[in-house]
Amino acid sequence: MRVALAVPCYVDQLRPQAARATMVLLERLGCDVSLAFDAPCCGQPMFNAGVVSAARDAASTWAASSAAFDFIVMPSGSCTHHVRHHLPGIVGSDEGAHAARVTFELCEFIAGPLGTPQLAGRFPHRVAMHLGCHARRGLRLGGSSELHEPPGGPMHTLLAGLDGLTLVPLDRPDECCGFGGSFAVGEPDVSVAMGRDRLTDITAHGAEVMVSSDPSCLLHLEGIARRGAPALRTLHIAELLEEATR
Amino acid sequence: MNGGHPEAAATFLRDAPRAAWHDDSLWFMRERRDRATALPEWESLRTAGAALKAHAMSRLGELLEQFERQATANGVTVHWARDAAEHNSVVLGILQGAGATRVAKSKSMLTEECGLNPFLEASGIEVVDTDLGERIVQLAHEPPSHIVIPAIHWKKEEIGELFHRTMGTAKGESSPDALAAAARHHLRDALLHANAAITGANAIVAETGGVVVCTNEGNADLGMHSAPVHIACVGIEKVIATRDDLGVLLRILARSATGQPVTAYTTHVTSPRPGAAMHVVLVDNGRTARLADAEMRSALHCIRCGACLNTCPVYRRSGGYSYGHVIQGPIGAILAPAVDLSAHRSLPFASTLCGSCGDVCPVRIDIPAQLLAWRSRSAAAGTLPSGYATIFALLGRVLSSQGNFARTGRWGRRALRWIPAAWLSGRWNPWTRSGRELPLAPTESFRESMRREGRLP
Amino acid sequence: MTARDAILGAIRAAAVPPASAAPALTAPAATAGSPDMHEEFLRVLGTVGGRGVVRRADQSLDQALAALLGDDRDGAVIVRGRFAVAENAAVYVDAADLEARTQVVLPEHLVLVVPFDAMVPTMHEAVRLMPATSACGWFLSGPSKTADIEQALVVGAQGSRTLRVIFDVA
Repeated sequence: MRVALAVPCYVDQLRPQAARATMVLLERLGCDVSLAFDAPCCGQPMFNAGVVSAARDAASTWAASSAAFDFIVMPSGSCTHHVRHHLPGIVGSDEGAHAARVTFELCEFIAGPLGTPQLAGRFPHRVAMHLGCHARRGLRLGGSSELHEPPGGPMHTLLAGLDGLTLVPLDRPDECCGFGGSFAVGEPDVSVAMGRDRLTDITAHGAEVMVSSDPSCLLHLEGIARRGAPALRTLHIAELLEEATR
Repeated sequence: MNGGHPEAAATFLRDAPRAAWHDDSLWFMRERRDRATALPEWESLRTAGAALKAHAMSRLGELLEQFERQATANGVTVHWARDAAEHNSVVLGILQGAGATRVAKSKSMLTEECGLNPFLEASGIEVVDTDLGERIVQLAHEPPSHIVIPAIHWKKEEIGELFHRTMGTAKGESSPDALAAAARHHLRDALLHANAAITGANAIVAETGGVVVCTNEGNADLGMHSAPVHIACVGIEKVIATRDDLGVLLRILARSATGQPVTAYTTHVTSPRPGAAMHVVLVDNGRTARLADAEMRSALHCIRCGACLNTCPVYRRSGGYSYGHVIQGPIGAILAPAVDLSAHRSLPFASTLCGSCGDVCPVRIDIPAQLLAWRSRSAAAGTLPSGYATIFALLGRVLSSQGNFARTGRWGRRALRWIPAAWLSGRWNPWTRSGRELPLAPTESFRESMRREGRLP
Repeated sequence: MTARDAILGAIRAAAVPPASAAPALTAPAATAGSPDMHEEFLRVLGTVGGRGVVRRADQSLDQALAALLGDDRDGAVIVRGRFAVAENAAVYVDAADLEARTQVVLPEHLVLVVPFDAMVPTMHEAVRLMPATSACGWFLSGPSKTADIEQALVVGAQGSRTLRVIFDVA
């Protein structure tokens, strides 16, 4: 299956290992991964800050780049959510609708179009799963406690299927980590307080590893963990799955 | 508002143990709500709640007129008020006409919105808020910090001290039982000796002409059935079409608000008792403007259950006063900008857009979508938080092409590696100032490494 | 222009498109067909701080009251409840059956006597049983209570301190 890897702007610059792990993992799963998708950003940072006009160019570049592909995979729930639900309205063309149709979050793609809801692999650690809110409540890639749903979802199933992996239960399994894009710098005190509480929940349950499908949550939580919980290993889901299936 | 929500939240968070206590108190409410709403039909109830409200908004004029006809036939006097000032003067007129000087008031966010208490007090009328939580904040000369639990930010020891000062309870008494018993005595006295009762309404029913009031304490009933005059102050969006709609509303309201299957007292009053008078004041105060705004209209569906406050990770960690508005939390953050976008410019941004508010809302208001819509209106109105317009316009240019982005990214990573961390993490930097490290900058971006390996041209 | 005309005019000007009425909802079969709605009612009543009994065939109503009230008999007011709602332990009381409306809230101890057969599963059915000509009616579920002080539940806020329900076999 031919897929384009779309690397969100901040992943390209600040977490290249997540992009590489996504590429390696997809190739290991038999995909023909193209790196020809050439747009740096879907426009979400500007759009969520209210500056829709400034999001238009980035979103249009993104939509135009998507035209050549039938599947685009992104190692980010939040960006995928933006592409699927907001980008078509911003660019207002068929290209936007196409981008929304063909873009998938990594776990969603592995379990869905690729048809492998479970992977053979081993990861003998106690792992806390942090599913980003846009993946959970925006893309519905995991149960929402507000809706009385079980945790579930593709990321949960992929993790639960690995040998040796123990998913640690959290007191507040789907509480937001406090990143929130511009919120992280616009409301730094609440943002960091939320992140600390999230990490406390995770470390109090004896997790050795925290894994997320959203590199933006990781960027924020890692920044806080480096001061408060230095022993916690923080991984992107692609990095964990790549390591587990070597 | 100078610093707006971020500054008020920072102040709230300075007392970390207290902020954690506040967060836990509200999470407890969220968990109560989760248990009470674990019904197989819960999601269809939410759909029905949304539908009955949308239906009522689509026939608002007709339903208000039907209500007025019914209520008038039942012996109720119906008044209309365009705004807060008109509402306050209508209420004062009724009270003066009845010679009432002592008012027992039960919970009503509308009268808070209209500033009724200070207005009446300035006219020599004594007003006692008779909901315990409201009485606590009234005695402390504060507004409610939560629409359902007005004194959620007060600790029992502080309430003990307040009651010692104002009601003469024993010094150091802080048991909730003892304090509530003292309040019972104090409030029953006020309720039974008032010469007018003011209540809000959780709904008014066009089909019956009835006013529906829900309380757990029984204060609204003690007041309205004792005093010679009962005035119900009602926002026009509270009207629902039928008693069937009331059945749905009563199933979702208390479950969402406090995690109870229904409130202890649910009163449906259509007529004054013999010898007494009943008035209903129907208030617009900005609601018809909201009705005309298709994108934001559904905010009028709000039944003031407070579930979105309890679940909001930002509200829990910043407190009700950080919103600077009569309605707090996520719903307040989409209601306040309609009142004054410039004054409340920080509120649409007081959210991570985590979506929890939308998922708990019993009438399915898409609060996150409206937060986003207010952000974009802020951009159009020039009321974005300071610096946003410039920074994000610039960022938009950088992110619109791979070339711009790669160059800027390379310099950014160099800066992160070469400039001393102490300088980059100065007080000026909101990323690091509250206890968060800057990201470790890799030497190569993903694309750079792919080029080096020959996978990209 | 009167306030009434101004508000109704603004509503007309808002030109809200039609929206269909709420779908008719009844509780799913599991709740509606529950074998013992009285059991469910009494369980929920316990969780909201009330107590209830079904009068036994060998008891007079007076005996049942005496057993249920004990020392609280003084200060107790007994009123008729028209029907009960299993899902939330609410009893509907109508002003037509009272000497004064304050009777539902003023007594220290309130006793509601409800015909055994007058029970519906949920509020959907309950609202339809409200008398069409009622001047005032209540759904009462447990005694007066507050959790306004640090969310500690205190029973007996401004209204009745206790609420008891007797299902009376006619």
